[in-house]
Amino acid sequence: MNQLLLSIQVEGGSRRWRVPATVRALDADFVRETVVTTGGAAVAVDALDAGRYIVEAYLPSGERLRRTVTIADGPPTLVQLRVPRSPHEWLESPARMVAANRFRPVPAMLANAPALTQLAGTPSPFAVMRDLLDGQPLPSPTALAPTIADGTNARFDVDIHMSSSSAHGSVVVAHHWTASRAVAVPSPWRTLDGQEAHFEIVANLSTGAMSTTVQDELFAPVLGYLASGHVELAMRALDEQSLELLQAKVMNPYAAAAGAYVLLQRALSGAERHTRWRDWVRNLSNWFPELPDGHILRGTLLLNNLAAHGDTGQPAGCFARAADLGVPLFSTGVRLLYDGMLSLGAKDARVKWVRRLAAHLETDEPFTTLRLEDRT
Amino acid sequence: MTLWTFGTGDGAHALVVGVGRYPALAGGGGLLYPSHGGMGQLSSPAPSAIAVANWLTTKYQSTDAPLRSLELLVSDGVAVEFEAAGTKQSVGSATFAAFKQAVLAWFGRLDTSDQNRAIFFFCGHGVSAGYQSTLLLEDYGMIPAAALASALDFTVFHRAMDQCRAREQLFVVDACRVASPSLINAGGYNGDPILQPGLPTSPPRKSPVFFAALPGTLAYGRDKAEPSLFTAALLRALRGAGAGKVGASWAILPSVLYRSLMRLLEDAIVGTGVAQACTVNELADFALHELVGRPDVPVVVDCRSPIDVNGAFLRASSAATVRLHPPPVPNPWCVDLPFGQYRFSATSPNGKTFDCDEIVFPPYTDVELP
Repeated sequence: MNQLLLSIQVEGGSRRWRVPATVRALDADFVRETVVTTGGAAVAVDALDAGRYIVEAYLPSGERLRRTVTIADGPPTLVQLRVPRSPHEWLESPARMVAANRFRPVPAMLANAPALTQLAGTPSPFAVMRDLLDGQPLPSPTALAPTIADGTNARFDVDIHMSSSSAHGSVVVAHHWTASRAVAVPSPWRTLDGQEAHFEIVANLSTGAMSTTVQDELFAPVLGYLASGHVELAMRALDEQSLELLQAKVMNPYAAAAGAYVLLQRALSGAERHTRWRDWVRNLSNWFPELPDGHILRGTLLLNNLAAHGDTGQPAGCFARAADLGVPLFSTGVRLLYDGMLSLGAKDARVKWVRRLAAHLETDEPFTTLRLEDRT
Repeated sequence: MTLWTFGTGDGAHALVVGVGRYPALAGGGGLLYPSHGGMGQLSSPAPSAIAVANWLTTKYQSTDAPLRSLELLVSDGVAVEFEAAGTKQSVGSATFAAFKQAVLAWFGRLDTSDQNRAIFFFCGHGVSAGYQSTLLLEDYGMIPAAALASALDFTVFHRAMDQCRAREQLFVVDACRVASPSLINAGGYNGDPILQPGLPTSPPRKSPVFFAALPGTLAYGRDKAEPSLFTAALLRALRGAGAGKVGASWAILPSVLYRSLMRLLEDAIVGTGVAQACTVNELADFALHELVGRPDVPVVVDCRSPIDVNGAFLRASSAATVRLHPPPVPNPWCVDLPFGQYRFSATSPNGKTFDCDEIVFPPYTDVELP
């Protein structure tokens, strides 16, 4: 039996992301799945017969990396997949973590540089997002200047110090022609090594679409796969051990919620591997009570008879609490909140509000991004 | 109502709907709905629906869920007939009343066993607002005060299909998803979902939804009476680009189908001046369609210098297949080839040959020469 050593190199870049990869024998009867960190050490795939194989990986952008390789009896075979150099190095991360079409110009739509502002998330960015949706008074805006731009896209780097001034981050609003888009930027977003992650927002000058990515090698791909509909790749990219560690350290409730959404999808599809994470979800809703997503996750678990052991909460109460707190951080949360309320046949004013929230959602963004038309 | 049935027992029940004629929209000949929003008549829904119905009745193959029924509704400028299993019938129009009756009957057929499989295809006008998708039936706008009463609240309908016993459900929506002020300003009324949602059921269903367009964008038809860009790509992908190996044979899997559709649609819009990309919700895999033999895979061969495409012969050869293209060779050369190991070669008039060995494998294969 032979060994293949698989690595992924990003040409001209240094960003690290966890990317699921697949090794298939030519006759396709043999398939082995693994996860490779770009720019990191090669991952060993063992017990391969000599023969021809296809090695492939998909990035969240939809970009496919593929190589065919012949494995002979003897020493390990080295295989390197290459992520081609980005046409714009300054779009390196978003271009790989977001569906490629988000950055393309749309014919017949006039380019116009959007004006971006950042609002302090006081009392919370989730509440500020709700106030934006409801047309309520807002905190004073601070203008954000693009870090770099061309005729198609502009990249903005979020001021995380301003985000840090509130308990949960800030809100960024982009105005483009007659519509605005708004997204909550959580802060601090701590990576597993304790660093505070950086957020990039790319605005498409012709569509006005706003794409938000976080520089977190563990969670940026998970969020990217979730947003592009590749739930199975999100499940594979998720490092459950790291998530467990994150949960234990209580250091990043936002990433914990993102991971829990993936585990929830797995549980809802009947493929749950263990039930420990259900306790984390209950803890998330108890320890970070201002985060709507924790209550949505818990409510969905209760609704689907997947609750943590001894959790006697009511799904309706969890969903109501989430709606009262404001706009969920993740768009998956909006969908689950809407679906949960539909399933329960809820009739109160919150249902109408959630329906309105869902109608303003940019569904292909991982972080809840609302599109709001100017009031005339 | 136009129904074909095929044997008895558990299996797949398809509901296929194409709406190209909207009397209350621009060019429809009826009283124009004041809030038509620029929407008019469509040329592709009827051929798209008929092509899908044709595929289902002549190509679709599943050991676990053979086709047991097909219900077809088409609204077009002319009367439509369809023949399946030797029975030709006039196809009913896709008014909301007919559609509602068809949905309820379809649900009833599916609700007899958890081994059943639902297949839903819609091609026509759609409007969207964020997560909300609404599909418009023929009589949309004919009663202006209740326009959305002739529209399907697809978002709630899809959610409500969880109440159906059939655990495998495929939904294909070939329609625009442009944000509609009429939807946003409808006070939360998004059309009639026909079915009522309820508490989640068990075991979990697999219910992927393929949308021909991204939220907020358009899905395009074609001027001639041909299937739309998306449906044409779908039918091509079902020949093999969307296939994965299941045991010893090949079957169309929704996850591979999605990847192949993204690529095929990208290829289809080249040179058209339009932008269109598809997406999927609630992606989950099951063997949707079993292939007879090896899958046909789209291959793109890109010839680079020093190959002169005006003088070179291009050849793709495997143990079982040889495909030759004489000069001038289109660059790139796009060809569908059965799965397998190939040698691609370009030979110039002076006899110099450049070649490259590549495995042709779904969802698509790119080759660069030299």
